[in-house]
Amino acid sequence: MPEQRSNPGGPSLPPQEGRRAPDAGRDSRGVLFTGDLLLALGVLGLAAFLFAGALNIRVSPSYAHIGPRFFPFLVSGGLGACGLALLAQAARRAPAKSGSLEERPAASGKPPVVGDAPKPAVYWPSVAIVAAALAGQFLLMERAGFVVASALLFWAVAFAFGSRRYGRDILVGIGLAFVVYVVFTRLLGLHLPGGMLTTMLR
Amino acid sequence: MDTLKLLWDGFAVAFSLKNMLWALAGVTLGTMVGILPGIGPALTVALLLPVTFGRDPVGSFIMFAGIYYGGMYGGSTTAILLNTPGESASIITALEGNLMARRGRGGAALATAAIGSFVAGTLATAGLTFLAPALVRVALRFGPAEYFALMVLAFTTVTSLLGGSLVKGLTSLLFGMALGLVGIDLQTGQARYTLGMLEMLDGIDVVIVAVGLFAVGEALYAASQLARGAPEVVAVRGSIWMNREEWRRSWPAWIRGGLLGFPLGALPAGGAEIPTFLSYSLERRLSRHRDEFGRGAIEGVAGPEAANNAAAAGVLVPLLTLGIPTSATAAIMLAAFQQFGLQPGPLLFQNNPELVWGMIASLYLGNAMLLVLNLPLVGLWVRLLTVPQPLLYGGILVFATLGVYSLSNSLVDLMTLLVIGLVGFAMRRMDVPVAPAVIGLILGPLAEQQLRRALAISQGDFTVFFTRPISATLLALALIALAGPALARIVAARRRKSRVAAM
Repeated sequence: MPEQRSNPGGPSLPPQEGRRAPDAGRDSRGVLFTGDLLLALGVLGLAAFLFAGALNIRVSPSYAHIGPRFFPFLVSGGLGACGLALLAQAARRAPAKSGSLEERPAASGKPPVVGDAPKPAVYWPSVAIVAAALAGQFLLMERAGFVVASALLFWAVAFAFGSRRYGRDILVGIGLAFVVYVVFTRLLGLHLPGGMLTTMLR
Repeated sequence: MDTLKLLWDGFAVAFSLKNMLWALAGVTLGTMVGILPGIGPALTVALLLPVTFGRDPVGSFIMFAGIYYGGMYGGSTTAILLNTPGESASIITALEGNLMARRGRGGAALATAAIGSFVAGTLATAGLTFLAPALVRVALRFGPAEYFALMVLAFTTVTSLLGGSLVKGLTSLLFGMALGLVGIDLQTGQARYTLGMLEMLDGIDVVIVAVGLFAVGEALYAASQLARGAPEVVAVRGSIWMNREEWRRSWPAWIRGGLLGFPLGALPAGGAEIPTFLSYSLERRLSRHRDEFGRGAIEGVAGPEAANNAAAAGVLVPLLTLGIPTSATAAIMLAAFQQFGLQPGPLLFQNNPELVWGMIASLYLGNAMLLVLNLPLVGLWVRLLTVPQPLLYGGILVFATLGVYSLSNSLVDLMTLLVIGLVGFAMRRMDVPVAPAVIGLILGPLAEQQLRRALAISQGDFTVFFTRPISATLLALALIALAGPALARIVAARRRKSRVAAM
């Protein structure tokens, strides 16, 4: 299916059982740079949020010791410092268009450093389907019941991971969800929303 | 010989039929999740917390310990046959072990990993048995200032040693601590960062964070990497028994790995990553077959795998005696203690000897069970590797949402799970390690408590941390741990640059 391969970021279906060739070169230095920048900005944003939130924590005037604000200030200050350091790292990396890749230690006999290799591209459609499937579990858990919601979650995740054996996937999903439901509610005494099964099993 | 008496009593607890079944369940489950890519012992224990709530704590902890040890054994099998290390501590095993498997010595690689894990794991459990009571006597003299200093040391070592970047490790730790701030402040009863939601008053449960980061984040990341295709499973060819030459080359590596792994794991520095790297370079230097390294040398599997298991046992020393978790799984186990209303530390040894010593004794038993489970029966486990990825991740997410929902039957928890999962995916993508976040979430509130307690005792005088000798020493060590690797990196970078310039 070459026409699918040529459009990895587009709305095409996920690849069959993940047999697609890796997209070499999609992850240019530019992509890496924006990622670093986003990370730094995100951390700074979280630090600002924590700081603002710490100001809103009420402190009783009669409380003499270190109050409930102190630690939040400490954490937000630390995160702010980390965010600035990440920002500096992102800025330092940005102008080096080439050359910084060569500076990395070559794969000698030494143990590999985690995350040293340039990362392959993200296949967004699959990520979106998995996230949507989890949101579906949130929406359906109490409306349709655990078994129905979980079977759908299972099916959708399998689809996102490239499975196209729809029948098998839904059967396995229903079977798994049903066994888990019976074991957890009957044997372990946990409560799970039964949905329509409550009437069937009773 | 007090310790031997206590251990003897522990064996009486561990060898009851009920507890042996708990141990067997734990090691079996642990091996399974260790082998399955995408899940590990930390996630499994987290998912089991709601199930064990209100049950027998002794049996539960014997099972958790079994899962913890079993995960280490199972992880090596995946590393050898699939070349995808389930965790950073198996990177080295994946390196040499997979090459051995490709050369047709996969059986021997599995055998040396399993027997080495048994030898080093048993040695290290013995180390735990005798070191823990000694450390408990020291810990009894610790006040809030010392505990706070100890936690600062744990924070710095965990972030500077786990993963590649110090800043990213710290960011992850502080993110976890920020999540730990949510909820009611224990000392004053003030609500913090609840966003006006009643559900948030109790704080964000560690199960949600662990499952979000380890299961949901991991699944999203795996989905994003579909293009790379499933890794190939190397079939086990040849005998699973080692020949005489391989035995002769393995056993010194096991002993050295064990001796290296246990003390490094027992330090509040924690983690099994460093000892495996150290063991690998040590074996490479000592080996008479140095040319084989990088092509599948058996010492390169035996040493690091032994170090890995010994370090895993070592991590239990600060967890049980001081209540300081230094790995993600240890952090979840600390949460488990809290769930049962127990606080690890010297008092646990005094008040719950049955639990502590029963658990330690069960580790000897679990190691023996794991040797049988992972050597003669390895063929059964290998079949798990052939579970198709779509079904595997479908199942993982069903269990993930189930575990989180059953915490308190709350949909808010499921929403939080998705949000934290998306954060976990971003962290994975940006090479921010997730383990420090879990440690920060658990240890952050405890550190705040000790800090405020220490300052209340000292009437707000901050010098208390520097005038008490133990606390001052611990803080100095923390500073070294923080600055040391950075300095070493700068020196190394200078040296590399000058070498490049010389060329």
